[in-house]
Amino acid sequence: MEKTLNFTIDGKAYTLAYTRNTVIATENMGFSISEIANKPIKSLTTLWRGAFLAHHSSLTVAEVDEIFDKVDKVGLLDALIELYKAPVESLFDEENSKNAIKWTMN
Amino acid sequence: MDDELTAISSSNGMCVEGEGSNTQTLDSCRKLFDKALPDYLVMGMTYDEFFNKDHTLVIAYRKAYELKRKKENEDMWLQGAYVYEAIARIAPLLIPFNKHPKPEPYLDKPYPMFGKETSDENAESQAVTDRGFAYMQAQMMKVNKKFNKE
Repeated sequence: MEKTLNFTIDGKAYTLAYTRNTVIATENMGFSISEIANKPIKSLTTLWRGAFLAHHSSLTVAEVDEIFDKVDKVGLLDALIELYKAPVESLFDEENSKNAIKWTMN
Repeated sequence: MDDELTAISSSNGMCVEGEGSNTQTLDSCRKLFDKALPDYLVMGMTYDEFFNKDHTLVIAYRKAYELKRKKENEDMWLQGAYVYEAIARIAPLLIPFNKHPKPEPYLDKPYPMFGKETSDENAESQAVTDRGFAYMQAQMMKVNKKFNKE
């Protein structure tokens, strides 16, 4: 099941998701996962715009930005990164992952 | 930027070689997808499914391919078993200087593949036994009646 971020604004439902093509497209728009720490706002904006390409590609950037202004930003960057990583992570075998060495974060 | 989003969406988000500091990242991600693509094409996935549809489809394709290969392996094993069985049954013909070889005929039926077939056979033999038992009971009742009359 595709990883999605769903919300409704003014009665219209939106589904944000990434496909492999939109991952490439978002990187083409200037997003780089290595630059998130240095440019969090730019990364957030680009990730936000890229997440609309899969299911709402007919929207203009202005419309997408308008929606961005209305949504809660807390935890949004992390959620968008999760969406963005999903098409890459699904390429890796979960069986291998089960046997791999586990790590913890403090 | 307005044009940028619409341009990307109208071209279905196809990757174009970037320039400057982003080039490396774009290239490596694209490389990863391009490297994985042939494997999934072999598994029966289409280019469109791989790049534009639900990204978790690849997991289903991997599992389906594994099942398919497992089934093919079992089919090949089964074919080998039939060949082995056939050769074993005609083995007497292959013994030199045997004047009256008695080869066994080939199997009447294929090997039962599912538990259901075995239980069907068991049910059939049980029915025969039941019919025989009922016949014997009827015969005994007749005999008993005869003795009671006398």
